[in-house]
Amino acid sequence: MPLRDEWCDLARKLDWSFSYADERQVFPEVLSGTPWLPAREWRDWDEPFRSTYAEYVATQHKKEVGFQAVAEAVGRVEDFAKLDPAWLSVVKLHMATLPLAEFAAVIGNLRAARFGRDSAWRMTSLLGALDELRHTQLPLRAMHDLVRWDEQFEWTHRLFHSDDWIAVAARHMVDELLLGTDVIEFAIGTHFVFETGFTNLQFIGLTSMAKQVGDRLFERMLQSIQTDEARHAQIGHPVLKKLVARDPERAQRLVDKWFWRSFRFFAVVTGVAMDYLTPLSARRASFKEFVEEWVVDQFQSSLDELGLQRPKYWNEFLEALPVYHHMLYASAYTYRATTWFDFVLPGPQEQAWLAEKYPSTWPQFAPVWQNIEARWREAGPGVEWFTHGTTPVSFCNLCQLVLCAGTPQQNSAVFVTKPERTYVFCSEPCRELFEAEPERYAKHLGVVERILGGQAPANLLELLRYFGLREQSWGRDVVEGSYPFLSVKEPT
Amino acid sequence: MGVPLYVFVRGDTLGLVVLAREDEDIDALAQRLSRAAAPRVKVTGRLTVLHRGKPLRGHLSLSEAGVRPLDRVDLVGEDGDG
Repeated sequence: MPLRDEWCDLARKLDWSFSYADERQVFPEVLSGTPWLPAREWRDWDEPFRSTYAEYVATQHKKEVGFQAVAEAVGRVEDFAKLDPAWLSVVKLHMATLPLAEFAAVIGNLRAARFGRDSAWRMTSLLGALDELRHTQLPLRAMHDLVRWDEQFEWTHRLFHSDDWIAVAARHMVDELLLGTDVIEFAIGTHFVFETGFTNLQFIGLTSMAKQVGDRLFERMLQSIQTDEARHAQIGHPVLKKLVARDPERAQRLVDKWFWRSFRFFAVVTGVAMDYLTPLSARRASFKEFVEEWVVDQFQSSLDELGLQRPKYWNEFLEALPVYHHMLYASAYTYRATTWFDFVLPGPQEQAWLAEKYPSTWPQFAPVWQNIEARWREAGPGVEWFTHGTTPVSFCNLCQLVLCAGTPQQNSAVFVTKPERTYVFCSEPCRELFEAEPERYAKHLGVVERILGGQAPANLLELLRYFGLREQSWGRDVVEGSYPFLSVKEPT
Repeated sequence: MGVPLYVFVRGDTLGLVVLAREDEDIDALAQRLSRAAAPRVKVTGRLTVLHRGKPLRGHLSLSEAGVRPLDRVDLVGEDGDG
């Protein structure tokens, strides 16, 4: 036996018996999760990395040194100024959604480091918390010096402190997933579904694109984060395995719920980045192709291995995969001032690529972009407002995202009237998830409820200020409509 | 009195919230909905407002048509997208 194995478990898997309190007091079910099982039932819990604290510190130190070297070499304003402006929007979008969500994950992991039912689980969660703290700091550090150059980078820190609609939606999910769940749901929702199921999209897909566009800092940061995620994501599988053995219905329900909610999140953040904001020359695959390769195949095999069914909303997910982010992007383009990053109008080559990648659905979106192009031609470059909406937008009472599910011909919004009020959902899965746990969601005030209740203004310009945006920072078209293809006369 | 409505324009990519008036007639509402979606979709031809899936007569006011706050209405154009 190698020497390390002789002492390793003393450093990471060491439980003891309690004498001053009983186990249920030490690990209350409300935090330690359902089903509550005695410690002996968790004794075989383990994960493959089996890191000790000393090993962790040594490894992380090396990663930090590597990242700092890259940041010093290619993290200056002049390095970013060379990048494609649309790609900078990918950076601004991801850098803003990442750090404070990761900070919430610090808390989620720390809760598991205290209330997880096995010492190895608690130890791995402690290292996970340190990982997430690092993932909070890396983007804040990397973007800090860019704020003086471009105010939109300030949203790396500002987003989660604002009432911007993306912040409202992101907080709604992150607060529930990372702060409002017991440690069993946290492990399954965060580690098994969100991290194992979806973050590969971020880390493999976007890393490859970052490399193609020459953004070495973003590439290196994602790689560095991915190696942490790959380790602590392993917490999910053994927790889920235990739950499947004891309460398979709950296990399936948690997978169903967090699969749907995670997909919505990734379609917004990653779908838009991959299919619109990344320059065509740097794209290697469409969002749909990435999801099919990295989510559909791999996630399904993980479920098979555990004896679980495909998530309940699998068909809805497959139907939404070639549509939802296109609905969202066209909507957001025409409400771009409500965000802190800029948008690009897909030109003829980009549209040809999208038509090739999405042959069955793109024909529904081509007329929308033709209409936007026609309005740019009519107004001329610089006249942002002619291609911008002014009417308030409606949002889903579960995911808090814009009601842009379904297709242009048939929006899939669902209305539910209760004695106290009417609720609206972007889709059947969001309605079902809400109605399964109304006590969790019913009192939340989305943007529309705030407007109707007088807490937020209905006038768009005033609403932008409520969102925390200023004219210097709100989103625009990346070239303010100065596209060569718009100056070519339209065929009549 | 203001009547907030959830609005879906056929051919559009998202739902909107429009503040209508009880005494506003359906034809005027249709024009307003068409303008609200104009950055993304050009609704052409005769405009029809649907409420609970049924077309509303253009000369009726919202209250006469039975449209209540936070109801869903859909706008459909006679030609193509709308």
